[in-house]
Amino acid sequence: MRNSSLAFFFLRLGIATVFLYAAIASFLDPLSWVGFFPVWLKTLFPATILLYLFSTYEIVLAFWLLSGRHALYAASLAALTLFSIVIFNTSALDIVFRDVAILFAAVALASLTQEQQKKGKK
Amino acid sequence: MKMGHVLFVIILGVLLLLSACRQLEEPVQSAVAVQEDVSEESIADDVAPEGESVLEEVTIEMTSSGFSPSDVTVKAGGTVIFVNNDINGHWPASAIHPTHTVYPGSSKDKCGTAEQVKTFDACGEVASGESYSFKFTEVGSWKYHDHLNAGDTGTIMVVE
Repeated sequence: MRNSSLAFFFLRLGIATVFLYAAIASFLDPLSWVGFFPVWLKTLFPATILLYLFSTYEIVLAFWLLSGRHALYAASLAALTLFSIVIFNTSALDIVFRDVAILFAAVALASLTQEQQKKGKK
Repeated sequence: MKMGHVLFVIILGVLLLLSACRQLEEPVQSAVAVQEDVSEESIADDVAPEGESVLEEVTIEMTSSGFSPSDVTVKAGGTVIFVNNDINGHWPASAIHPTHTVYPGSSKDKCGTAEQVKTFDACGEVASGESYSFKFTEVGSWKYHDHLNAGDTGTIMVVE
């Protein structure tokens, strides 16, 4: 396996692991995770339903990333999700600053995938 | 590096910087009856300024906007009462989310055990109209948050 293939795999594995962990932890201890939703969103929808929907979305996204299919779109969606989490929780930056690193890992994955696709077309 | 990448990094950087500045600019509100101007020196030493009294009981209101006042000063051995004046529940607890271990002896794992009384943690939702109080014996500056709204935070200064 070439180093670049390994790098793609590890990036996908790393980002997917984060989403999987967050989703499973949300199901096991919802009250510790519900606080990351913005208050205005919780006034529109019941917090527990929001959490279960988002956790399901995270699991789907994690497996999509792991599958490696259409990785550009999966990585872009992951980056967008992480960007939203950071922006909506800037007042809890002491906690979500780690998400900035994962966000850029997702951006890197999207960027590398795009470059690989261009090379493949040539 | 493409221009788009550079722009993305710049935009994110600016947003993070703005949010950090906003947090720094938030007025530090002392408890209503606590001294008006707590000098930086006294904060550093965790000692109440001479000739000024520090309350032994301070009340913090919990609303949809967060804690008010968010930063208070209380005497060692004093009590802070968190009153929920919101229609939604709140859960005041020691930083850091979600383990609540910053205040000495505190931990979310101690909820439901005999040590719960020593833990700066409501250990559950404080419903609308209800309150939670905790007696602070450890001198220092202790950050806290709302477990149900992780972005709502504050600091309790415990002085001698």
